[in-house]
Formats: sequence, structure tokens, C-alpha cells
Amino acid sequence: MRATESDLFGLCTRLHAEGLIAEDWRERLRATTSDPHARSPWYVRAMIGFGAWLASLLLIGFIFGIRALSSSTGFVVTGATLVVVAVAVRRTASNDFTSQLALALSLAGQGLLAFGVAELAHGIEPALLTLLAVNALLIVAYPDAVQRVLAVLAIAGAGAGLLYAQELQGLLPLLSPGLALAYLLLSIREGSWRSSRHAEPLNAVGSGLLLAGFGCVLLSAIYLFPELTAGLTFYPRPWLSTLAFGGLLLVAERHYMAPVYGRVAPLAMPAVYGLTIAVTAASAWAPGVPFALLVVLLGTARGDRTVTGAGLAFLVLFLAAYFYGMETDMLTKSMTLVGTGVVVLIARHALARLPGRQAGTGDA
Amino acid sequence: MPTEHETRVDPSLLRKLAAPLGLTPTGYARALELAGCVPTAADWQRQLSRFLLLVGVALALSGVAAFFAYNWAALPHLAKFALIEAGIIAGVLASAWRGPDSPWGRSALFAAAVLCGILLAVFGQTYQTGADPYGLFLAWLLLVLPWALIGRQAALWMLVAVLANLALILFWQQVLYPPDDFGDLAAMLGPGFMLMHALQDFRLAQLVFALNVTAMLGWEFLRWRGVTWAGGRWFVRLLAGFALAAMTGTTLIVIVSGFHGPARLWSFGPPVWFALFVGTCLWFYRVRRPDLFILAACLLATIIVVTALIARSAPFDVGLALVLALLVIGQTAAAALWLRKVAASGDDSQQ
Repeated sequence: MRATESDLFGLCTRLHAEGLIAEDWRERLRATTSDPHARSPWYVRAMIGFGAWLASLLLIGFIFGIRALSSSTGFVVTGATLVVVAVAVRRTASNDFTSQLALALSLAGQGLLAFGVAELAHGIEPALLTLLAVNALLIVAYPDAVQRVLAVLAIAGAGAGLLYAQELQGLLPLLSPGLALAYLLLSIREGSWRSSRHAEPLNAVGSGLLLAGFGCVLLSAIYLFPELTAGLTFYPRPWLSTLAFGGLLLVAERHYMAPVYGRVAPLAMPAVYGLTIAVTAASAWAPGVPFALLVVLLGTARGDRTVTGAGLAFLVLFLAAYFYGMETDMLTKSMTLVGTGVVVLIARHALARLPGRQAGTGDA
Repeated sequence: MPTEHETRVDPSLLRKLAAPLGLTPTGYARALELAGCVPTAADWQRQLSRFLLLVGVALALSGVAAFFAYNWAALPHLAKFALIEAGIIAGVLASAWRGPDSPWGRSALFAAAVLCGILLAVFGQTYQTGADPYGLFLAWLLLVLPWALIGRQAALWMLVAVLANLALILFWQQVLYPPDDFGDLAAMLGPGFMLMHALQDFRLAQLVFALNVTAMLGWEFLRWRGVTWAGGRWFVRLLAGFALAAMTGTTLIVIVSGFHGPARLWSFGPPVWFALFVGTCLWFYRVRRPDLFILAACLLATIIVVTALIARSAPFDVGLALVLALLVIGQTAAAALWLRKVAASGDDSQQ
């Protein structure tokens, strides 16, 4: 339900009485609710964004034309300059056009920089390290949510690329749980950073961690023909990821659900923990399942429907990719799906019949 | 401690305002609590139950669908037809029972309309008559047209519009003017490439344009007559998008290829229709029936065409890219300012 300002006003009045809000909250509230940029519909902003990207491409074409890109050093210098210019532009203006223009310049600059480094060093690892370093700096220096999300994605992507390049893909199953752990910590500690000046960057970083985690774990569901992989194990030991996600899910349940849901019945939380362990064991080769469940739980606990929806959508996507790639016939897949569905429905029935006080009577 | 939720505030709003309002960490948690954003035990139980139900049913239904897919080839023809026709009949009966104006009724009728297409596809697959694929879309269109007339929903008319466009394009390509080798290659690359290649025929592009503009005029006429179910904006926006895409694409081809080719009357059509269409839309959807989406689409198309025209007309020079970049910046800024003014005037009839 959309809140009206008077609802917010009442809430803030109550918080002020308890000493939990700034003294000048009235002026701050007035200032935040009169933001002109908030009024443009998405398609107007999309049109502006398209124009900004087109202008950026033409500017880059001009740079190509004046032969600033005639050597590898030229690529590096031009790329670095574009990134610096993008940061400067974005820090000085925040309207739709300049933010999209700066974003386009930043992405083009990073591409040129990485290409130039790869050419100079005759290898891909230095380019990936450069991308990693540049994006880490951009998270701090570039005040834009989209760039920060893309920066986290780039760091995760560069990290995965480095693991493959160094033939350390055995560590890949730990990458997505690492990202999920960072996201879980951000969620648990949300109260401390949400009110601070780091709220915007950390919010964007959180979104980036989530998307990067989705991308990394989706690698485990990709089926590649053996002829194409030439003996390379694309995602070794996915059960490691599943185990890690299962552990994180138990931690999240302990933190968010146990204090409240545990009061429903003495066996409520043990039943939930048992179900979690069973799901983790059953999805040993499908790490996306416990990860998706973790995301859905965090979204529900924080009242964040976008995150809950993202978790559900990822669950569907992962299961579809997983079952598509399974090397069994359709009959086995069909039986597996129906069987799993029936088990889940039985579990639901069992949870609803737990002995003890029902939650509908309210919690203290 | 409150025993009931005191203030209904959106959680995303609180997240956005926590820092600007200067909430303390404890204040943020307290605000979530006061606003009822923290799930209670009952909330957890309900969400868990709902989630397990959704997942369990989805898995079971997927398994059933997979089972049918496994056995599809082994099913007798009549069994296949019977299954799909049963779905169509169920959809129509459900729509009649719940009423075609209710959400369930509309969804059921739309599902039945989609199943008609699947039935025709299975029919064509079973009895390989060698008929051209355009026939499937044409037959589908004719079958669902009566439902669109009595269904009173924009979704069915959107389906009709898509089918009409596809039937026209495929009829043109498969019966009247079969494509060359490049067209066959485009078809192999996917439907998007196939459509883009098809619209390079200016006659076809202008027919597609005329079809969609006629549909737009019909829809706006219904709205003018006060037909309530024609009040939605997204159908006319879709039609405007089709018409604009057809004319913008062909205008760009005319600009890029120049007028050096053989003199064909058809080549002069796209720029003229483009200008007329954009000009009329900018007037109608600003003055008579404000619609920011269509205005934004028309302005974007204009920016693209004007930039392409200047790029084609000006002498090729390295500075041209810089000039064009500045031109795009200027045009976009002007368009954005004007659209913001329209939005701020509060005239926009968004739905």
C-alpha cells in the first residue's frame, strides 16, 4: 500500500518523541518528498538514456577518428581518461542525461583500458586484475547506483575469469557462497548502515552481490558438450556450494525466524531446520535451490518484495536450466518433479499440523 | 511495545528515507516495527505455507507437463487434439461462468485463445499438407476474432494485432514476394532478423504501417465513444510502436541508401508517412489525449531520423562525430525539458 505523507508524518512524530530521529526531520521530510527527478516515468528516462548512450558512442567515434587509439598505450590512456571524466561528470551533475552519459563513458573507458592492458601485457590476467581494481575504486568514487551494481558484477566476473585463467576453478564453488555471505551480513547489519551516509553505496553493493551470486551459481546449471570443454571441469564439486548455502540458510533462519516463529510451537524451528537440511541434501548438485531459498527468506524478513520476487524468479530459472541440462530422459525428469512436488506438499501439511500454540493467536 | 501496527508505511519508502531523515540505527528498526514491516509469527507461518504450496504445485504441474512431453509422440492424434480442445472448452466455459469481465474470466478466455494457436500448430504438424505458415496465423486470427469482439479485453485485441501483422508479413513473403538468399539467412538467424529484413520492402512496411494506424484510429474512436473496456493505454501504445518502428526503419534505410537507386515511388513514402505520423501524434497526444509514452517514442524516433539525415548529408569528416554528438545532446535535452513540462502540467492520462 502506498504511504501518504501524513502516515509518514505520524511515524516520524512518534520516532521523534522516542528520540530516534533527527531534530530537523520536518524540513528533511519536506525536502525528500519534493524531488523533481522522482516524477519522470520510466519511458521518459529510457528515452533520455538512449540519447545519452547515442551521444557517448558518437563521442567515442570521434576519439577513434582523431587517432587517439593508434596504439596499446593510447587505448590505456584514453580509457583511463574516459573513466576519470565519467567520475567527474557524475559527481558534478545528477540528472538523467548526465548520469547515463557518464555511465556510457565509464563503461567504454573500462573496455578500452582493459583492452589496452591486455595488448601491452600480452595476456588476459592483467586486464582482469585491472578491471577488478578499477571497479573497486568506482564503488567508492562513482556516486551512482547502476554503476556500483555493475562494478560488483564486474569484480565477480573478473574474479571468476581469473580463477579459470589460473586453473583454480576448484575454488569457484566458494565464490557464490562468498557473495551470499557478504549479502547476508549486509542484511543482518542493515540497521547500522541504512541510516548512515553509506546507505546508498551499500544498497547498490547489496544488489550487485545478489545479481553476481545468481550469475555465478547459474554456471553450475550450464550444460556444455564434452567436446567443447576439452576436459575442463566447468563447475567442479557443486555440492560444496550447496553445503555452504545450506549453512547460510540455517544462520538466516536462526537470526530472522527463530525469535518469532519459534514461539508457534516447540517443534516449529526444529521442523524448519530439518526441512532445510533435507532440501540441502536433496539439492546437492543444484546449489541454486538453497541460494534461492535464502534470498526469498531474506526478502520476506526485510519486507523487500523485490528481493523476494528475485529469489522466486531465480528459483524458477535455475530449476528450468537444471532440469533442461539433466542427462536423463523426460520420464525420469517428470517423476523427479512430481515426486519432489508431492514431498513439498506433505512437508507443508506436516508443518501446519505441528503440536503447540498456533501462530494465529498472535505473538508476544 | 505496540500490540498492533500503528502506521502503514511502505518498507521500500523507509529504506529510502532512513538516511535523509536522520534515523538512528535503533530508530530504523523501530520504524520498521511501528510500520508493521517486521513479519510476525503468523506472517511467517502464512508465508511459509504459501511458499511451500506454490513450489509444490508448480513442481507437480511441471512434472505432469514433462510426462505429457515424454509421451507426446506416442499419443494417438485424436488424443492430442482432444487434450487441447478440452483445454479450449474449459477456458471458454470458465470465462462464461465467471463472466468475461472478471479477471478470471478474462484470463480463461485469453488462455483458450492461445490454445487455439497450439491446436492449429499440432494440426499442421500431424497432417503435413505443405501449406505456408502464414495460413496458421491467419486461421488463428479468424478463430479468435469473434472472442475478441465479445471478450471486451485489450489483451485479446493485442493478440489479434500481433497475429494480423504476422499473417500480413508472412503472406507477403511466402506467397507474393518470396525473399532472396539473404532473406533465407535472416530467417535462419531468428524471427527478429527475419522481420527486420522483411520490412526492407517499402511496400510491405507501408502496408504494416497502414494496418497498425487503422487499428489505432479504430481504438481511439472507441475511446471517444466512451467504450469503457477500451480505456486502457497499452494497446494503442503497442500499435503506435509497431507503426513507428516500421516507418522509422524504412526512413533510415531511405536516408542511408540515398535516392541514388532506381526512381521508385514507394521510396518516397516512408519519410512522408513518418513525418505525418509523428506530427499528428505529437499534436493529438499532447493536446487532445495526452500520453507521455507515445510522445517520448515519437521524439526518440525523430532524434534518430534527424541525426541520421544530418550524418548522411554532411561531408564525412572526423569532426562530424563530435558535431553529431553535440546535436544528439541538444535534441535529447530539449525533448526531456518539453516532456517534463508536459508531465508537470498534470495532463498526462496515464493508466
